[in-house]
Order: sequence, then C-alpha cells, then structure tokens
Amino acid sequence: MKISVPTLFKNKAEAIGIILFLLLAVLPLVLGILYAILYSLGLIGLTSAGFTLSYWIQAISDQEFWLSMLYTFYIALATIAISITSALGISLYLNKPLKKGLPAFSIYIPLAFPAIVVAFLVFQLASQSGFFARLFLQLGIISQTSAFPELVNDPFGIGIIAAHTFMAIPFFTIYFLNLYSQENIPEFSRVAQTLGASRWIQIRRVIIPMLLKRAFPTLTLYTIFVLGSYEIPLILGRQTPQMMSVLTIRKLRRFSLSTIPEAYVTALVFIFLVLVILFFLFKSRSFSYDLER
Amino acid sequence: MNSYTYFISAFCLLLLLSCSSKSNHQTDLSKLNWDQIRQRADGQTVNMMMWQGDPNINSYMQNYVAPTVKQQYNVDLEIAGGQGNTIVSILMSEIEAGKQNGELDLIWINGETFYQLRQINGLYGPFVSKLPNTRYIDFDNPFIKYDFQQPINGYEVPWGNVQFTIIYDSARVNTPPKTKEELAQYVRKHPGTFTIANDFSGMTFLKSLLINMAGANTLDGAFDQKKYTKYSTQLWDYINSIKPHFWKEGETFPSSVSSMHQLFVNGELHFTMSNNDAEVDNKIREGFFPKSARAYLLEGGTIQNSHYLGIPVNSAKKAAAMVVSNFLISPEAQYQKARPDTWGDGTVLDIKKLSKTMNKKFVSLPKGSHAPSNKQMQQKALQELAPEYMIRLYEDFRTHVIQK
Repeated sequence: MKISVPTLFKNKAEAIGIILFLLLAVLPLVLGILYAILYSLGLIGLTSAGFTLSYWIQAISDQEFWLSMLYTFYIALATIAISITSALGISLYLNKPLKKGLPAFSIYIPLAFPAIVVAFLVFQLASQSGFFARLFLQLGIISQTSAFPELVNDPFGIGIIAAHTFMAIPFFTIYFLNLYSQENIPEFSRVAQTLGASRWIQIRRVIIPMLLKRAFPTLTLYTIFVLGSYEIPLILGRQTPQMMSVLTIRKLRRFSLSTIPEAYVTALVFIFLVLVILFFLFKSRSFSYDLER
Repeated sequence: MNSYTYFISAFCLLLLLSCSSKSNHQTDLSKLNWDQIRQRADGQTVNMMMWQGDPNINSYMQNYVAPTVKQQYNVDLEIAGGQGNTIVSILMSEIEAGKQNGELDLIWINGETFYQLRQINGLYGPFVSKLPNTRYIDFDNPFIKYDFQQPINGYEVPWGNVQFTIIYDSARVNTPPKTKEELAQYVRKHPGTFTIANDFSGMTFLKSLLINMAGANTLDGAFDQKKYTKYSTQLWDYINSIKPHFWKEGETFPSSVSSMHQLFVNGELHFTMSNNDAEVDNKIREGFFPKSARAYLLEGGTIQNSHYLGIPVNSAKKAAAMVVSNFLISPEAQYQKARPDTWGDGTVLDIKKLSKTMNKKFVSLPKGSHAPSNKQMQQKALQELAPEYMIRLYEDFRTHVIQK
C-alpha cells in the first residue's frame, strides 16, 4: 500500500524558490508597510509622541487628499483609454508596414525615453512659452504667447496625459502586434470571414475582443504604473490637485516634520485602494491568460 | 541536510550579520586643541552635501575649495547635491536606524533646516568656538547670531550672507512697484506679468510683506499664533484681491523660482525674485538675464539671511569637517567667494577685524552694478522670522491662495 504524504511543495527547488521570493520580495514590502503603519500611528519616528489617530484623521479629512485620489484615477484611466484606442487602431491598420524596415524601428524609439525626459520634452514643446506657442506667434496665428492654449500645468492634466500616452502607445502597439500573430488571430479572422463576417464585424467581434482579453492583465498593470508615476505629474502638473505620488512626497518633505506621518497615511490608503481593485479584478473570471475559461 | 538548506542557512546568517550594529567609539573632540584636531583630520575624506543649483557656486567649491583643502590639510572634499529636506530625510532615517557612521560630514543649511535638525538632535555641537577663524566673525551681529530667530549656540558656522531682492527688466518696467499698494496698481494695469513661486524664495517675499504689514519688529521673537492669524489674514486678503491679475489669472503658481526666471527671460513675467542679491549680476554675466535686468528692494525692506554650515551628529569625520569649515570662513576663502566673478556671496566676516591688506581687498571688491548697494541693503534689511512663520505661510499659501 502506498501512503501519500501531503506536501506543501512539489519539490525542493520549488520550495526554495518560494522561500527566496518571500524573503527577498515579499518580506521587505511587508516590513515597509508595517513601518509605515507604525509611523502613521505615531508609534515610531524621531518626533513621535506615542499612539495617536490624529494623523489619520488629519490626512483623511483633508479634501485635497480625496481630490488628488480622484485626479490620479482620472489621469490613469484617461491615459489607458486613449493609448489603447490609438494602439488598437495603429496595430490593426498599419499591421503590415509596421512589421519591418524603418517604421518597425521607429515605433521603438519612444520606448527609449525615460519618463522625466518625456516630461521635459512635452513642457518644452507645449508650454505657453514653448516651441509651438512661439511657432504660432511667428506665424501670426496668435498675437501673444499667452494666447496659446494651456496644455501643461493645466487643470485637466492634458500635459500629463499626453506624456503618458506618448510612452504607452508604442508599448501597446508592439504588444498588440505580437499578440496578433501569437494568438493566430488572422486564422480566426479568416474563419469568421468564411462564415460570412464582414471586415468590420471581424474586427469588432473577433480581433478586438481577443486582443483585449489577452491584454487585460497587462493593461491593469500599466494602469497601476501610471497611477504611481511621479516625474511626469511633478513637471507637468498643477500645484493642486496633485497626483498621489507627488502629494505624498510633498507631505514627506514639508518643513514641518509633523506631516511625515500624514505622508505615510496617504501612501497606505493609496496602496490599500490599489490592492482592493486588484483583488476584485483577480477574482473576476475575465482576468486570466487562459482563453478557454 | 542538502546543499539547498546550507545555502539558505548561510543566507539567513548573512542577513542577521548585516543587521548587527557595530559599536563605535569616537573621541570627544571638544577636549582636543586645534592642532590635535588638524592632525586627526589628516588624510580623511569629508562628504559635503550642498545645494548645487548654481554653476558659479559649484565651480568655487570644486576648483578652489576642494584643491586648497587637499593641499593645505590633506583632506579630500567630496561634494554631493542635495539641500534642506533631502538632508533632513537622510539624517532622520540614519538616526532612526541608529547608524553611527553617517553618510554626511558637512552640510550647507539654512534656518528652516537648522530648525528641523535641532528638533531631531541631528547636529553636532557646540563646536563653532573651536574654529580659529571665528575670531574674525562678529557674533553679536543679529543677522549672524540668530538663524530664523534661533540662537545658533555654536551648532552652525556662519558661511555667507544674502538679501532678498525683486528683479525686473528696466527695458520694460519704468518704475518698479516698491510698496504693496504700488504692486496692486501695477498688476491691475499689466495683468499676467507677476506671480509668486511656491518655494523658499516666494515664501521669503510673502514674509517680507507680512513684516511690512505688521510693522518693524512686531513679529520678532518666538512664533505668536495671535499675531500670525491677524497679519496673515491681511496678507491673504491682499494677495487674493490681486490674484486674478497674476500670471495665468492666479490659477496656478510656478513651483520654483527657477521656472520664474525662465518665464521672466522669455517675457511672460515682468518680475522674478531671488534670495541672493548677487544673482542678478551673475545671471547677466552668464547671458541668461537681459543686460537691462535690475534688482531692487521693497520700500519696507526685505529679508536678509545668513546661510550656515553644520556637522551631522553621526558624522565619523567631524575633525576633518571642522577643518574644512574653518577654511571656508578664512579671510582668503571668504574673499574668493565674495568676488562677483566667482560667486558674489556676502561675507560673514567683520572686515574691521581683518588685517590691513585683507581689509583693503574686501573694501575694493567691485560691486555688482545691477543690485542695490551694500549700504542701501543694510538700511532695508529685515531679520528672518521664527521658523514656524515659514511653515505656516507654506501651508496657508496653499490653502488660502492656491486652492481658492
């Protein structure tokens, strides 16, 4: 008779892998969060004076905090929506020309730009004293540079979204192009065609759903990346509302040392919200690499 | 046990080892005399952190100070960029972690950083009286003795002295507004040409206005909540009444004075500001500001401010840091620094106490032609207020002006 002993791991290699992952990746994060929690409750820190909820109350009752939260999500969602639409369009209609030669190379160029450089470029080009404003002035389209529309440091975050979109479109275009061939989408599309689907129906009912479904985890991760971006909103954003990361750093570095715990509160609430969203997304069936489900 | 287990236990052991702190015995420098301190400094490397936003200042430090201290004292001076809040966060986390041999040995600080560092006991001291060159400094001068109304008590070495000025382009502005009434009149007539940076310089401007409103010496001494509320309400009412005529209708403000310089140079703004009275001449010489740029003072005066050097409490090379500080306040180093073609920073030395030749050198220093004279500035110099005023102005400027 064979007695099977329930084991936690399949083999030793996996066990070590998981332990190393916990030790190197998860443990520091958990410690960091614990530190932030203790700090925000006034339990540690050079200026702490014992347990208090006042920092939490102070930070959460601040209207600017919630405005910043909304603004952050608005920027991220707008960026993703514009980037996906454009990337889908480009990858569908420029599928062949983008496969080789100069166009194939040029689509990689924006990926080489660090975020802070993109932010400066957008500022140099689109500010009221920037390149376009001067060009329009020289062409006589506007009578003074301040008549140029506000595109950076503007209330709607146009500059921030533009900079993020500039970086995201090539990324998603290349990603969609690869998915397109990996998933044999042309085959499925041809099947649909033999069943009488027009090109538009193929795109709408076959190609786009398949691409988006496969890309969903990446889209979610990219949204989180935009949510947490720092340099771009720092340079192109307004003094108020600010994106969460800018707000957190500002609170961390104010002259009054007493707002440092508030910065930790801001960061904690933000992490918590992102985790909640991720939790629900992972629970939902559509969040999967597996198309069979 | 197989090899994996060995590996993991070795790894855990390493982790534990890296956590254990080394005990560190430092000799009490206050018991040593200057020669012994100099001997101790020999061959040490000093890590200095300072604001590196100005090429003239960087060049003075890299090309004059560093080679000279190496040659005279065999001390290597390494300079890293960083100011105020960066220094405070580095020191805070080091002290919270109990780190004995800190990253920083010498720091360039200003009143608000001094205030923060004293709160967390981050500064070494008192040590200033140990430095032989302090004999040239007049510590009774209120602009040196007090940093943001706080007595320095030997915890920081005065290094330089500057005064806040407003900069305008004389080719476009005939008579610059010198009082708050004139400023209000000006912005109403020329909307979009004035703004306030949401940074140290901007707050210094607001502080000068606050003092002007309260009247001379009213706000001296410790922070007074009642007085602050009274005069800051007047200040915000005033700013908000003219805010719609500011740059971008006052809906947003530049985040730093360097973006204000940019806007000034390309003509959007008629005014910019500077915490350093020598900056206008420096920037004209660099070709960044137009030749017609001029610096001026408010009728009611502007803030004069000394900047200082401090040694972090956990520095392992305090002796060498003291030797470098002593060199930085030597007559020769101060003279080099005061030359308009190097930095143009005001000296903290009392030139009456210097030797005849040195005194002559200071007196005959060419003065920048586009800023007010030293005498004019001295007459209009206001003392810095207690640091809490600055903290409150920062927060209230945000809530009462920017977010409105």
